[in-house]
Amino acid sequence: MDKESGFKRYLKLDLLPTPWCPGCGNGIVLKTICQAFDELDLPKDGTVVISGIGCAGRSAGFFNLDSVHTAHGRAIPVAEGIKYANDALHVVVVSGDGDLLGIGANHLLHAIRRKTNITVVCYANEIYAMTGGQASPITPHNTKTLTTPDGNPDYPTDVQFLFKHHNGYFARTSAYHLNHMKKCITESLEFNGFSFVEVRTMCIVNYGRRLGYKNSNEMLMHYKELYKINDYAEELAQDEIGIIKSSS
Amino acid sequence: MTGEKIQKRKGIVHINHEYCKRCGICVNFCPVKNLEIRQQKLMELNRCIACKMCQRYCPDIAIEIEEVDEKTVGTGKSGHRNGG
Repeated sequence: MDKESGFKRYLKLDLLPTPWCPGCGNGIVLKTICQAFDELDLPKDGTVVISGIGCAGRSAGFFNLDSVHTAHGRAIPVAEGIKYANDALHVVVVSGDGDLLGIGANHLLHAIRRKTNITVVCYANEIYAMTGGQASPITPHNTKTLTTPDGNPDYPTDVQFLFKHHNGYFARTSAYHLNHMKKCITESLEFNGFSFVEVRTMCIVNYGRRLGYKNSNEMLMHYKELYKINDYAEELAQDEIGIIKSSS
Repeated sequence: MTGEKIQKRKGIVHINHEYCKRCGICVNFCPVKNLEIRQQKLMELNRCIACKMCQRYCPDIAIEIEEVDEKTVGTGKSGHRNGG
């Protein structure tokens, strides 16, 4: 296998195609995670992938590694248990924003506090996509969704501030910025401590469609226009993607 | 395609039609408009420049680019190729 298709050894190719809708960004993130694994050459028998429930939760089954598909919101406790039981394993959590920041937010908070050496990759599509498009904890203010037809009255959670007083690794990236995403995931896997990568992906069927996007490519291009890269900053603005890494 | 300048072909697009969901992301990313969805099927138009943008952005791992030398392939070969 050449350099570009080497990531395929981390995927169960016989289970493809993925169950996601046409134009879903989850496949791009799944592929980039595998490319990051390939770049670090992680051992297949020394890496565990844990996922919660939701569209993104389906991705754990596609990794050609040991994987656990846990209860809703409980991906991080299972990952922490695995890490504490066997410290030599690389433990990666892949799940969505609803699962990690909505139902499992309490576990996230305490994992950050405990500084468990695990990596969390959050597929942030700003919606509860699998159940039909309800507003999630990071749906932007005034956004029209199924449960907020007059615009979301609440303001989104900003995960970066949870890391402020606990040394950790936080990165926000988008599905358009592939090189940046790969860099963020690779760095987070190498980081010694709790690391969280928030990947903004597009959901066209249950989210973008209601916002007036014609296809998922328009959403990808929107990320290109919206986000500016600002790595190793102290704080990221709403329209910035980048890495926040604590000094110690 | 008629009346357009024939570009040198530098790659063959192998499309896995079992994986492809015809979302059209690759069609929009292709800088030479080599890909097209016709009759619910993704087709290649034989002018790939092997930039691999479609391969990189395909969410379903359905596209693979094979880099080729112009002399060995020639131009104007009809039809797309199945692969994957």
